[in-house]
Amino acid sequence: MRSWPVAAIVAVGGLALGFALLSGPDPNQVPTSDQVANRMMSPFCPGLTLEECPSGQSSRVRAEIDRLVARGATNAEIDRWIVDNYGEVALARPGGSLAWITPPLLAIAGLAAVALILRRRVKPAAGPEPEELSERDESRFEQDFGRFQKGSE
Amino acid sequence: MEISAAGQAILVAALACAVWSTLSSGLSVKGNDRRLALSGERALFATGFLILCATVLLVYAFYTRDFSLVYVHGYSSRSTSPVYTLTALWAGMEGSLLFWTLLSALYAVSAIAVQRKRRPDLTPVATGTLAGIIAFFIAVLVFGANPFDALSPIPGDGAGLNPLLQSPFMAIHPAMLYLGLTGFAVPFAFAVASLVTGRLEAGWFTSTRRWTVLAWSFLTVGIILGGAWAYMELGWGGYWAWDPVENASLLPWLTGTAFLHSVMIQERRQMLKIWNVALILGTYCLAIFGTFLTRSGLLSSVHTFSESPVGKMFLPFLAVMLVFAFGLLGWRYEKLRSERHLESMFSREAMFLFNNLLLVTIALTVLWGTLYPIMVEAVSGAKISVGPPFFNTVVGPMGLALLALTGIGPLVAWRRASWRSLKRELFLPLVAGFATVAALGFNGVRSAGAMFGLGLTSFVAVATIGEFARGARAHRGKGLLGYPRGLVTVISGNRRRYGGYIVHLGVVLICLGISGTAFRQSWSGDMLPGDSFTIGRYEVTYERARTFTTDEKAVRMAVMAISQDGRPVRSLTPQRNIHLAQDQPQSEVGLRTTLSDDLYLVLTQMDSTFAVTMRAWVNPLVAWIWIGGVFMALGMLVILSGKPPTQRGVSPGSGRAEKPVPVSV
Repeated sequence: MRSWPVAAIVAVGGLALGFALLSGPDPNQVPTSDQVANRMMSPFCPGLTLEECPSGQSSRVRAEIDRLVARGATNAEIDRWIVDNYGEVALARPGGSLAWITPPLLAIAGLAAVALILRRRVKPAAGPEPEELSERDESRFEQDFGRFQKGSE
Repeated sequence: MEISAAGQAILVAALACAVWSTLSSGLSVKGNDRRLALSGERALFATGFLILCATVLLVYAFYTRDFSLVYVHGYSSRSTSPVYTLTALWAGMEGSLLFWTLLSALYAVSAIAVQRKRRPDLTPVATGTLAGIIAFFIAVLVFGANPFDALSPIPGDGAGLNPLLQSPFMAIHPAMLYLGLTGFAVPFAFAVASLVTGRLEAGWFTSTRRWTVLAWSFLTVGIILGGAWAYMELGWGGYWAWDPVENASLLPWLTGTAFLHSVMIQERRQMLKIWNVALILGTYCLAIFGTFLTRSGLLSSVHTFSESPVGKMFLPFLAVMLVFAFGLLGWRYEKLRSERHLESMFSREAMFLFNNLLLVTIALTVLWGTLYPIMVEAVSGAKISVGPPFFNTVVGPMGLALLALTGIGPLVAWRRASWRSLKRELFLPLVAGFATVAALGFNGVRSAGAMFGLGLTSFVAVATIGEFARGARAHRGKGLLGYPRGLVTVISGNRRRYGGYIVHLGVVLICLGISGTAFRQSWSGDMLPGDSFTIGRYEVTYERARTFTTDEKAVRMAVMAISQDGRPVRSLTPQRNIHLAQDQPQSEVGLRTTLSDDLYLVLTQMDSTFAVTMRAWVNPLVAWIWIGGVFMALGMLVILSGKPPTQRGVSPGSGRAEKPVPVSV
């Protein structure tokens, strides 16, 4: 009873950390144009990705990306092209692991806090597990409760 | 008297009243001076009246086209329609701050007027806190963003309203958002009052629960309307961009949602008192933080029209609020500690705890992602972005876990649940979930996210509908209409509970709509009249161009013939217009909405030969997001239509009977 919250934290935390570390696109893979447009911030529409930007100028950047993809450029090469031409600010996925690791760490810290609270504060009530009501008793209870609610309106 | 001078004089008088209200209410607590407390309340009412006068004066200036005011000149013109002349009030920084102050004042006056008799023990401190907040906003208006600044010489016409803001959604969305954000000031003030006076057991939250639900409801509707506005007006094919300003409204919504759930544990089991106070204090601090973020121009955003240097004034205010509120919480920490214990990990209380953990972690993650570019720039000087890929990847899984808890939570009993009972309740929802996943797989869907999302959506939908069915069965009458009558009886008998379930159904429908993103298709390309393309089940043909000029704009329109599954349907006419007064281009979306998908056309360019650059999306299931929003609003109305709450074992006026706690403030 007492050890399962710790096991849950380790399992969820491990999964979350692994997920965070592996979440980026494979640098050696050739992406589709849509994948690139979804992870590039538009230089012409503040706060929007290239995929979402309705500006006419964004079409020219998309055409450029189409050419790179057609030539077989990998994710790493395209990201380098984006940074060289538009700066690091145009990458919608932040580089560096700190941005990605922090949310799972927050979740783990929260789970640890809950587990701590529960370890200290869960006190099983005396007596056996609550007995299951039979179908017949449950039906009687529901009908009585319904009558009680109608009567209290 | 000139309107500018009159407006400024009213604002200064309102500031004086608000400051007096803060001081007298605060001082009344120390000596338990009823006369000072009464004076504070009256000063607050006077502040509200004066702010209302200032707002009416500004609206009057708009309708009389008084361009002697910089603000009226900047956000209206003689051709602005009557409706948008009114909504121009909150179109810019100065007016929107005045509107925010008005709503804060109206909430404060209403809450104090109602609670002064019910909770006279808490109202002096609550009055002082609310008046202090309002005083700050009036000070910003007077010293930083005055809507009554005069313009000389007086121009013959105004600059007009930003065309993006001339939309029915934009007319309502900011008002709803502000009604939500400002409303959290009421529970914040009463939480502060309970901490200051030490009356921590007497249900400060039950006194203000309806205000909290009201604020949360407005915020929810405001966020959904904002999404609808972005979708239908901004022309980028989506409804949520994880834009910093959008995130700023989401943060207090998340913590407010957590509070509305966890407060039930305190009501039923007198537990989580520290957590609940922290949540509501944090929620209002996040609302103020959002205002700071929106108005500081600190981050690049699609909401750039609301940037201003007054953002700097918010930072010290936010710091004072945080130190004051959480300082009080630390001071009362020992008194708030619960003597009660959870009896089982397998109980409704524990489910709420996990629900809260997820909501708060999502809030912290969104906050982290929003502030990360500022922190990186401050430390290394590098400019970076945190865009949708980050938020979707990190928040998505937590959102799915939260959705699962939405289905499981209501099935688990308070105190201690039994496995056997839960297994029986979970059977049908699990079958529905797995059947959905199997059906999707059978139809060739391979996206794990979509399968998981839609499977969970089915699971929660069946679990929630099951709750209605169980209630209706218990109250059913005889005959054909037995079950519907039972349903009405059960909902009207426990509006809070079943209103909450209707809200949950709304959330399920919104999740269904969001899941559709996985099947989104897009197309972009250049076209000449006569050209066609196919996207999803639609064939789109560029028939002809139309160009004309009205008083307000030069219109360039592409008439697009649409055929759906081979059958011709209504044409769409996406436009690229130039608004003459502002010389600003704007796209009007061509949109065909059905329950299964939306065809969304955006004309990004049209040259003199009528060659166009067109972008098209097929967005599956988006309509369910708006339907889910309607369900959520309906659920909130059901909750709010119930009887005012009373805490178990504590009558609403019991604060009077409680022994006063010595205060040294």
